[in-house]
Amino acid sequence: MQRLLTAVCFITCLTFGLSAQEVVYQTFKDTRIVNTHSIETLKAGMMDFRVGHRFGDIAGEGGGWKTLYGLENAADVAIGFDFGLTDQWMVGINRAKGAGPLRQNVNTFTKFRLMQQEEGGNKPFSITVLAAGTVSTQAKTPTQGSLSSFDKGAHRLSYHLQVLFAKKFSPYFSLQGGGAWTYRNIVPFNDVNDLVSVSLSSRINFTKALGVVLDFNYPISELRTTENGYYPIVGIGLEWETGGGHVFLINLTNAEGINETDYLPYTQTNWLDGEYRLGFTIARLFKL
Amino acid sequence: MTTKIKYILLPAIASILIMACSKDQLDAESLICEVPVVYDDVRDVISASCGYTECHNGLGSLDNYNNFAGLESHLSSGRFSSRVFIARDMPPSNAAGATSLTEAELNVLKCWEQNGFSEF
Repeated sequence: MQRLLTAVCFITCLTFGLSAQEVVYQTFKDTRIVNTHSIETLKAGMMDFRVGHRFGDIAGEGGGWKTLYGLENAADVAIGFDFGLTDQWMVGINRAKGAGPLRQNVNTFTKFRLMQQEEGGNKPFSITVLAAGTVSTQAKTPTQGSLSSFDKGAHRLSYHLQVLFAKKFSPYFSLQGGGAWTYRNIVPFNDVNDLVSVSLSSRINFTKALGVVLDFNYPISELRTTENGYYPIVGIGLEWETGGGHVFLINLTNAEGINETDYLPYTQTNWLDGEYRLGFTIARLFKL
Repeated sequence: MTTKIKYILLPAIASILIMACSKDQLDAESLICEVPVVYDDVRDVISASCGYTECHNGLGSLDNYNNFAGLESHLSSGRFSSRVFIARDMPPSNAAGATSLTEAELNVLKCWEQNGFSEF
């Protein structure tokens, strides 16, 4: 009898112990929020085929009826594949049209989850680090004095490092903050190669499959002020998991570029001037 | 397999990051054309600076610079660039209209040149 009681007690303790340290999944539904990467990584052996699109300005000078509210223009298009190497580590590659001064970009990234949130444990939030690199494959501009003159091969490259912290407060609300450092090998006169930025993102779920995501990126630089024509990057999106591995993300953002090395240094479009656009991402997961 | 990939990928990424770094800035004289400039963007500058009475307005012997077709031969031959950007004697100082281009006007024209004097 005593032995039975001990066994019951042991199992109970173990069960409570386990539930007290339950790993928290799906802080965000996707590996991207609107413009920013989320803390999520793909599971090992998964491949994600992604097509991202940003249309032209909805309103303002470039929008309206003459461009069917931007739908007849493509600010940026990115097509690529992401791979889950382990449950905590993923890599990805895409080719993007590019919206900044450097075009025809091949973007690569690696993302590693350092810590995953646990319920009741001593890990109250998740931490993920992201390292990305971009190479512009566009032809050299023959005239000197352009960013695309490419006097050195290294001028085609730019980099991005980011640390992301996120917490899922409930199945209906998640919050993510982050700090980033973007480095361009060549910059215009009077600009600086380093650019530090912060980001804040959130997901608010209405149902299991449908939610709203909000995304804000703020470059911290004396040069990137509204007086100089640069604006914070703000995005709002509708995230819809249609089942069978499809996540459909439709969004509105002032950013023209899809990748960090593009939209963080070069966003000169302003929501208040009607320079926001419709964008979408179609993602399809495959098991390798 | 994953460990193997890790050992290959990580040093490869690290070497690329270290070796392919430079900290360069364009010179003060350099011009940044952040958006491709087309004929529509320079039409007004050219009309105001070149296409006025007694000059490139199509009424005299000179080519009409008030439309793209009139400009085309001078653009492709390099005559436009050599007079406007290198010799800088157009518009001439004794002209009845504009006698020089402002820096902003010159820059937008240079950006147009960088974009291959594109019509659209």
